[in-house]
Amino acid sequence: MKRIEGETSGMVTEGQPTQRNSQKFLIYIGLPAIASALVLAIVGLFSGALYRTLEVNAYLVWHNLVEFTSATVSVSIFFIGWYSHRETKNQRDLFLGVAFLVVGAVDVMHLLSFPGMPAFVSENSTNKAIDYWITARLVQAAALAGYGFIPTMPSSRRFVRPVSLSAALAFIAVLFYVVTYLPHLIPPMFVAGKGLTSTKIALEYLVIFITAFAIVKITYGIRAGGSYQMMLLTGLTFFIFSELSFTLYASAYDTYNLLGHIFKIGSVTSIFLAIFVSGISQPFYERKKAEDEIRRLNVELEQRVVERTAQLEAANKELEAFSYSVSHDLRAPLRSIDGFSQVLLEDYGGKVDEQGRGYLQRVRNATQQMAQLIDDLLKLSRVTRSEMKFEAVDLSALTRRISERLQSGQPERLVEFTVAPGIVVNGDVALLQIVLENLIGNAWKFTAKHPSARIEFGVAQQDGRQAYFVRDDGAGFDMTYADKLFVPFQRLHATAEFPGTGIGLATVQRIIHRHGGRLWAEGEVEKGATFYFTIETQKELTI
Amino acid sequence: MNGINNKSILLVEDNPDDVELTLRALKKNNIANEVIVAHDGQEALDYLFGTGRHAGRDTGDLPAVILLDLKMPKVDGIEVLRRLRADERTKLLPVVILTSSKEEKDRVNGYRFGCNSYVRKPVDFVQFSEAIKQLGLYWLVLNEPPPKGGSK
Repeated sequence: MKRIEGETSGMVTEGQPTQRNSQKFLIYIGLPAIASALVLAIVGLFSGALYRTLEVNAYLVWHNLVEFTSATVSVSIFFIGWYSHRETKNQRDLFLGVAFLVVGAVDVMHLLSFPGMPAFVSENSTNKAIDYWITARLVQAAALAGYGFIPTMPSSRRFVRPVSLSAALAFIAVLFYVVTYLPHLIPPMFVAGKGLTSTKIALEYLVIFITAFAIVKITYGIRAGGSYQMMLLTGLTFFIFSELSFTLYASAYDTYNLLGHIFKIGSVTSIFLAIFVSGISQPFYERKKAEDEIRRLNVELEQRVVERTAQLEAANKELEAFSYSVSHDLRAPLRSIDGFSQVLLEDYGGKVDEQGRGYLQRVRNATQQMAQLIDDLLKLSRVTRSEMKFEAVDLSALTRRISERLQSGQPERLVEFTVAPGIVVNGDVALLQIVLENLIGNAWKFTAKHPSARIEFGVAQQDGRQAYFVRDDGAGFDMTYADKLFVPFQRLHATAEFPGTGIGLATVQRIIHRHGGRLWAEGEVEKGATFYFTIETQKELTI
Repeated sequence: MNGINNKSILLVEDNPDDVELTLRALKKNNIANEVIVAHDGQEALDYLFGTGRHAGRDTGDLPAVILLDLKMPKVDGIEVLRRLRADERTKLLPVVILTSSKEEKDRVNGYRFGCNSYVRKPVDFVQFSEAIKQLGLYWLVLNEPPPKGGSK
């Protein structure tokens, strides 16, 4: 997921500071710079009143406090960067975090090495304190300079955090070792009586140079409105003034030294704020926005569902009215046609010849056919409309009842029924009854021309799924016409051969589909047919 | 075989074809009782309560059974049934709903408002004729009608 860096207001020009950004520069850089410069200027101008040198112990107390505060903030930056990376995979925050872990640790070591503090493993000295100090400052500057080069794309490579942490800890360990046990390897920073060496001053300017570079790099990397990145620039501004102060002090315990430390706290705090927004506030804000969006979409969806349901209900109502009309109004004229044809036959039968009587009989047959068609169509439409009630349905028992009914209706027929016992599915009992009545009824009908018949109901494995089937050894059908089987009104046999309206299988298919299943058939002419179906409604059975 | 002749049938049916076929079916099956035909619900109520076009009729003389169609203009079958059952004079009259409709709600309403029987008219005339014959024989011969005159 792409992270939106900064607030979403403002123009979107990448890399180029816009007019709106210029205003922000004024606030985030201009103000701290001016304030800091003013402070330095005031101290400079009123040095008589404001400049002083503290006594060692008082200074040490104050110094420990200030450095410890600064280190705490630095370590907090690390924790936020670490956490932020875990949640948002932000490489930049991790980089800053790890760097400031080093800065914080080294600043603590600087605190402990200050002349006047008890020996920190090895003898403390100004040089030692400065060694740590300048390392920390270089790391800090380099971190902010490197910040702009770290890719913004989130990466979920799992080794990044442990590796970077290990590198940081290793660096701290090595630094400690060298400064403590191998101080002769480090060029001197301070000569008692003379002051800071040129090495030290050069390093300070290096720090400032790197910092300036960092400012430029970050400025040109700022996307519109990214105020937290502006905070980094604030931090860098204070950092520069901090370094500036440290070029002005004459004694390790004087006012400029003090100011330098205060500017440093300002610097570190600004960076902390920046990473806090980037790592915590911003993601929280975005998450809340996403939640609100989801909530809004949900409400919209609900509304849409309500609308659609209303539409569907209206459509259903129309359909019901239509069905009612069909069931009532179409039958009455049919009855008239049939009735008066019969009346004709009865009252005028003598005056009409055999052929005429045949015609009248055909009129009556046609009306019967149409009545049956109307009933079947109504059943089909009811099947789609009705609400399904799911429960455990014993297909075996249903089949047995249907077969018994068929047999008792035509006891002269020799039909052997094989019904697999205990087949229970989860579905609507009324609809499944229609399925079996149709399938078994068809099997019964299409075996009528054979002297004896076998009809089987059972379950088989097809394509790894349980498929139920009804099999007969009757008239069968030609597989080339298999895809016409389930089309309404399409028949594969003449009505004279086998009665029927061509709706039955379409109805069965619709019901099976409402149960999430499939219906298909295999057959061979005069060898019989097998109809397979699956039921996929595996909800919890209600007991 | 013939019913007691002072038992009459009230046939409430708006379709003239169905009226003719019903009368024919009764005649064919030797059911010679008087058949009064009402062509819509209002006429039926007028007859039963002696109002409107049947004003002045002796309302003590009620049919032994009413064959009631459901879908009729002006006042429909269910409304007729409701009003019958609401009036002391006609509350106990046997009513057979004779309709083309197979809709569940018609059946439910029919029984709910107090019909005694619900028969669906077959399209096939032979079956229809048989049904009329059975209805006639049952309600006019086998069935004992309620006492005449209602709560007099």
